Amino acid sequence: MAPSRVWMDEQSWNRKLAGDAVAIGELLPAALRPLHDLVVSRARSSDAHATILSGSTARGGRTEVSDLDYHLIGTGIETADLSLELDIHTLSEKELEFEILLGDDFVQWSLRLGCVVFDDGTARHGLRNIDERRPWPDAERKREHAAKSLSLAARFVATGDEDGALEQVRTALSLAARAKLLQVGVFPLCRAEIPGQLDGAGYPAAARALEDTIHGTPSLDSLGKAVVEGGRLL
Amino acid sequence: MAPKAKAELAREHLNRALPAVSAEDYTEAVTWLFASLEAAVVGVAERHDLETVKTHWNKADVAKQLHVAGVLPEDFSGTLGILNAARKVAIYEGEEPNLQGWSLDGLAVDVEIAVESAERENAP
Repeated sequence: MAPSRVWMDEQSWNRKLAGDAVAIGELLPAALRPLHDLVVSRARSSDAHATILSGSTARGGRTEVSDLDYHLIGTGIETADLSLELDIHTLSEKELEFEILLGDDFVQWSLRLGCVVFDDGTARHGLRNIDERRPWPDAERKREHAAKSLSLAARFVATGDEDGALEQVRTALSLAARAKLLQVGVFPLCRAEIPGQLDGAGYPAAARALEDTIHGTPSLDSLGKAVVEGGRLL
Repeated sequence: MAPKAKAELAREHLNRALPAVSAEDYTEAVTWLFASLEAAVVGVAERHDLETVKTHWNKADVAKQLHVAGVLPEDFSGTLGILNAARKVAIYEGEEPNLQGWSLDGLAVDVEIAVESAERENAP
């Protein structure tokens, strides 16, 4: 997936913003609308440069455990009184540029695939930076995070904590899958879409294991095997 | 490996966290502290027939309810929120998380209060 070129001219950018506004209206569950409106209102009041709806919600791929993710470019907003369902990643303009150049995949994800709620030109400039200066995230950086997470997941399985192990294995396997997909030139989509991408890239066993951690209730034995599949991806 | 009782898991996870708290290994510390606190909350909730589901925000809501009902000595939903955000930053981004003014030691002390409550509630 090549970086988007919608940043290049005013008309394309305005068309994207209009399309994103429609997508937010369609993809955001009604129950989350008040929370979204509150986030946007606080972000605007804080003079944020940009707010992007990110993650599975922006892809129409929410599951029962999906957070409501945003990237906010600015100084941040108060969230202590809001639901833990909310996950806001706040970056300054400088941090945004730094993370892009460092090869962070999540910030690229938000800029490429997220829905821009509002932007003063900062998100658009970020896309330009991706296109011109850092067209692909750092797969090796992702692989290092995945390896550490898989080690942690294996130890969780050994504790006998079914809930904790499921959470850790799902996280670790997702990270390992993202690292592998980036390595083979496939830009990872949202978590619920990754099993299909893994399968398409020739890793059906890992795809099934990840699918099971997203939609199923795998036993501790199955979770142990899923960790092994994650290790194979790395 | 057979599943274990939540109160027992809460204590075991806390014990796994403590060396990482001392060593300031943020990823290990906040991950195990979070798992310990969630297990403690679920252990108390089960004792009071309060249903919990898989989501972290549900467990935070239940923690708040248990405090309002006088079962837990404090509202642990805030600590759950801090630890949840911290473990995501540590695991997904590999960075040192912002603990919002807390120290790892302070968080560990708070988690231990919840673990002790879970053990008391589940004592034979």
